Amino acid sequence: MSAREFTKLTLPNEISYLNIAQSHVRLAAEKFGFQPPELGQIELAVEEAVSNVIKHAYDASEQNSFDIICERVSLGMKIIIKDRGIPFDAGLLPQYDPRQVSTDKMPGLGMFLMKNVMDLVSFVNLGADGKETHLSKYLPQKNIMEQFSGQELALEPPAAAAKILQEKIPYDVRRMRPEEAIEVSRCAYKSHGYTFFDSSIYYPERIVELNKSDELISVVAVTKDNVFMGHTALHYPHAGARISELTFAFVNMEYRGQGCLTRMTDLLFSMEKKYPLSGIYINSVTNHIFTQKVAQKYGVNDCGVYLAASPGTWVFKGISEASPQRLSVLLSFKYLEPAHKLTLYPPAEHRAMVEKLYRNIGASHVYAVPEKSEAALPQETSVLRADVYASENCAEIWVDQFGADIVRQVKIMLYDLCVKQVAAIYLYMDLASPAAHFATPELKKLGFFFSGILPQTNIGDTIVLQYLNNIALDYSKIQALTPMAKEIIAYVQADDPHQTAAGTHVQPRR
Amino acid sequence: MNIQTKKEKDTLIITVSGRMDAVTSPEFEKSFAEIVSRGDKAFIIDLCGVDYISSAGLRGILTSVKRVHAVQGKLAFTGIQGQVQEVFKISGFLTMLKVFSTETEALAQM
Repeated sequence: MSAREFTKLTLPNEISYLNIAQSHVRLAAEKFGFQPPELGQIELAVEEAVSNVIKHAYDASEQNSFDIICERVSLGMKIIIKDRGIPFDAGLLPQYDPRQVSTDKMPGLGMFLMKNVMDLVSFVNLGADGKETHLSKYLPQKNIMEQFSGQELALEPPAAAAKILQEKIPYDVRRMRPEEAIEVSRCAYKSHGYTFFDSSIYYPERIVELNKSDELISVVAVTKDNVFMGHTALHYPHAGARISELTFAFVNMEYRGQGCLTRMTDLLFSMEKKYPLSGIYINSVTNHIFTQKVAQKYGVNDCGVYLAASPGTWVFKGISEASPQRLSVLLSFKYLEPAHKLTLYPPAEHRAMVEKLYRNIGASHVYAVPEKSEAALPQETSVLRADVYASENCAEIWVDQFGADIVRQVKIMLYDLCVKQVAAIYLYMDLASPAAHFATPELKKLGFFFSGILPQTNIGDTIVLQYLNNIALDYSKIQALTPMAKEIIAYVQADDPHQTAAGTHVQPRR
Repeated sequence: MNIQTKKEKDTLIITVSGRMDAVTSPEFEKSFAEIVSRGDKAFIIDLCGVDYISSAGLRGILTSVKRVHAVQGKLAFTGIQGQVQEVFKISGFLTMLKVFSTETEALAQM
């Protein structure tokens, strides 16, 4: 990833400086390629975020300052508003509902507008160092469906009816070239419809930008005449990540059976990378088992399940594929280098399953019980980070730092996400921290239950818990390939506090 | 921000131009309060000259609605376009308020 390109402005916490803040952000946004109406949306989000800081971060009489950082990122822009004032609990704000507007009150409107006009909004509590609001906006780019006709993008017919090449042909696998991005997007849509969670694959320009910054490593298979055959990729979740997702794997129908996926995946595993990896993971949908088969083929083994991770129905420009419920995703992991032996503190209730999952992915650690319960939760304020994925309507909460207030902070964040009607929330905690051992049963009281493990994240090896918000889920509709996958789903179902005798999850909205 | 008024029969048309944000909205609220205190009962707020509105601006709009209700008056809006229309739509204000495409339509409803 290229050197960081950003601007930074420090302003007094007075509303009279609002227009200066907006002008700074607007000029940076223009430099980063934004135009109206996105410029207006960015200005609006900045006003709402800055107003929150000025009104709530400091006492009325206190003279202080806040920072605005505008950073160019591969898909657009990130704006960080940082203050060192009073912790602001977004969850304590009443929540605005546009369906119930009245002249009586409109609390939470600013936060609502901010979240509606930006692509990604996250809040980071830094404890004594204050807090940050992160606003991300993607540059508008043409979706593949806007570039081709419906006929040109028609989903491929069943294999029996397609003209799959019978003879083996010579072909090459290599890193994708920018001019091939449009074929990548087109093939993604023809083979999978609009079901990829990360919609970047449907935007050729985004694919090019992500590859330029090495956040995405795309490899393609092409004939000797450079005719596009297929694609697969490694997608880094963030800059400097030690693990990467193996994803966006698809081959044009006529070239299936040539071994493209195997050769492309082998290249991805073996090629020298700018950012070395210690592991890769795969998120497999569970409305079919094809992706799970691919995972198994490459030794990427099951270690968790994200229930209800994405909508069952994607509706885009009139194209819809109905599914009876939200799609669950099976998580699998593979070490690319031997796992260092760690001392981990899994919660007592899930210790056996955590050990089993690690064995399944080929690691063996020391599983310990913390010595003193009172020492397990330090006195510092917890630092939590929440990332909301609007298109999937799910969120991730990352515990960057444990404090004695961890359960309270998670509760506040959970309340905020639930009132925002986020459907599924996944919570990640470092298993190497003794606090994970003690926090898990307390978080269970909030409604969290087991999801799985994910090693080598930016906060360490993690236990993942999940919370479903007003979701009806029929466990029998989740398709699992391997015995371990079936065992994980059965275990999660048994831990689900709202499972019914009929094998479903039914929970009232908070 | 600039506010101008003109009378059409019994209706006072208030044309607002500029930005309605956290800096300018207090001025709008103060001006509108003074306008209502003069005794008129029917108002049209024309926002055709407003190119930006935030939650602070929307609160100013809401305050104007309350003030008119308090004097048993009537209030309609016109000239909503661009970013203002987008924000009105997202926030639900487009369905809550009496919004008309033209001043003529709004006058006909007064």
